[in-house]
Amino acid sequence: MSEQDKLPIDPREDGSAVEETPAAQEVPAATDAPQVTTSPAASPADADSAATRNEAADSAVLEESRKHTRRSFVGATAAAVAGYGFYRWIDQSPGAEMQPAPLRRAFLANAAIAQALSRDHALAPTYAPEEAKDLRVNGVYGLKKMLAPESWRLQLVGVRNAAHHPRFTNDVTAWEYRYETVINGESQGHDTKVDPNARTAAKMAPESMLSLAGQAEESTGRRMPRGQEEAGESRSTLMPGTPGLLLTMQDILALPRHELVTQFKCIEGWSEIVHWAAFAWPISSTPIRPTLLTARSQSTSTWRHRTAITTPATISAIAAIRRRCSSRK
Amino acid sequence: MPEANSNASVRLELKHPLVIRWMHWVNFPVLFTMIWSGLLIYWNDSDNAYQHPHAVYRLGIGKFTLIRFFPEWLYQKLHVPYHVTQGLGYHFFFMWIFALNGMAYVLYTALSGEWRFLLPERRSLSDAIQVMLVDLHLRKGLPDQTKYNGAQRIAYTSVILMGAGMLATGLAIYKPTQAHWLTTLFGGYEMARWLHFWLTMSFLGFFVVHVVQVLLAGWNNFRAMVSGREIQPIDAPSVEKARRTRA
Repeated sequence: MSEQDKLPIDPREDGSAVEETPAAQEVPAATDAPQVTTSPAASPADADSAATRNEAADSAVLEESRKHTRRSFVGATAAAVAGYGFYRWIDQSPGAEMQPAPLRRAFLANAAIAQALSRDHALAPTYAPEEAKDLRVNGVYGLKKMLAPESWRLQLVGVRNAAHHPRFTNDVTAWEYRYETVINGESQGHDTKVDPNARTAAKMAPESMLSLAGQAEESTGRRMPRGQEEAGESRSTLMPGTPGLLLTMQDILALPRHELVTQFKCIEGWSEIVHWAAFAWPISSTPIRPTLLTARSQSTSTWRHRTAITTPATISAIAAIRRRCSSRK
Repeated sequence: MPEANSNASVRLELKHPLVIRWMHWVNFPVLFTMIWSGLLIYWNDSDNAYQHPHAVYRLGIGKFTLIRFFPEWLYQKLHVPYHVTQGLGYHFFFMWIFALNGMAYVLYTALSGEWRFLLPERRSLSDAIQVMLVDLHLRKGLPDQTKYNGAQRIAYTSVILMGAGMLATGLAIYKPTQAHWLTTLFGGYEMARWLHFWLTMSFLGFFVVHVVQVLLAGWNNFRAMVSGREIQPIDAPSVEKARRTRA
């Protein structure tokens, strides 16, 4: 690499000279100048005057260095303060769906980019059913109270000509789910982060989360059912008064059944191959988009357990699965 | 400027161009944020009282596990538990800064010719071994160098490749359906996670060595990463001259 192949120029080699100069910078000429002048083998008579000449020249160089150092460290400090300000701006921004607004906007931008690039046409790889495992139970948030199975309904909205369906109702959000009181007060499942032998109280969400949920209830004046305080409101949460269908489990089991073995990927980072079964609503006409909670001020809404699966995107996803299944046969 | 001062025994050299200094320091908080937010996400699966059978984040062979990462006390100390939403939020925001900064660096280094100081040369490996022996006080006499020695060339080039690996494995985890070809290339989703994790651990290893070396190299060297200028003995090989003659 280097074209001048003078080997060790000075008693120390050039690499370690770097380590020595800091001291030289503080006490410029005294330490550095005499050391270096010895190597070009000056005659002893010249040594003194050469040393003084070098001393003056060296301090000019070091003065130049100090100027750059001052300037750049002021700039660096300003940049560090600006960087911290940037972090504070993100961290202190009012939240949108459990995320500070800038991070939420980044999520949406990421999704838009991914959709623009892939056009939602990509299909996940499928596996043989033997490779599938039972999906692991990960936690019990939202399941502290057990739903009475016969009160379970699937809210299906956005279906054209829904009014002719026997399960049509004027307000799907008005359905009252019933819960069974848990007699022994024990947790009905487990949170995988907590020791299985821990006492019930220890299996609850951490203190910080409970108090945050409490604060949210205070500030909004509405009580959320257990589970929703962690999940937050959903983008598919329906407006009260939304007409649609309320399907029972028997209604769903009567629909055409489709099976698929894909890998489930949790945002927590783990994954499992799972054998899924799905029931596709027959798509005979274009769906209509229901009014979602996000379309108007959220503070006036009531909070209930809701399930809505029929945004047009979901229907096309189901359609994609159907295509995939039929093409394999 | 310093060249004109023919009597001086030292000179001031522009070691790091302004652009490179900016990109270097932008990486510092950004990479910190990426690793910290990654830890917040990662806790969900690693700290698992039920020890769900993933074989990813551990040291061990087959069924034998020496250590699972990371110990409970570390998580508690760092207030990691139950912050996955925060972790995801920061991770998927700062990944852009990390990616754009890294790509800008590669582009700048390629176009400006600074790559000549960075990429390993034929002699770099033997130089690096020599540098390592000198650092360990086993031998004396550092090999000749301009901006970086052989060990630095290898280390700094590797860390750029590791950064590219972080982006690629990250994408393979983030979009395993859309980028399924990439996920498959890494040996599947689990392997992509494994690589992403161990690349992060390698980054941490790099930091430790890097910071120790910077501390040992001293103020003149460190200051050059901020001000760009380094004070050099007048007869040491010149970075500026090398830049002029090659460009």
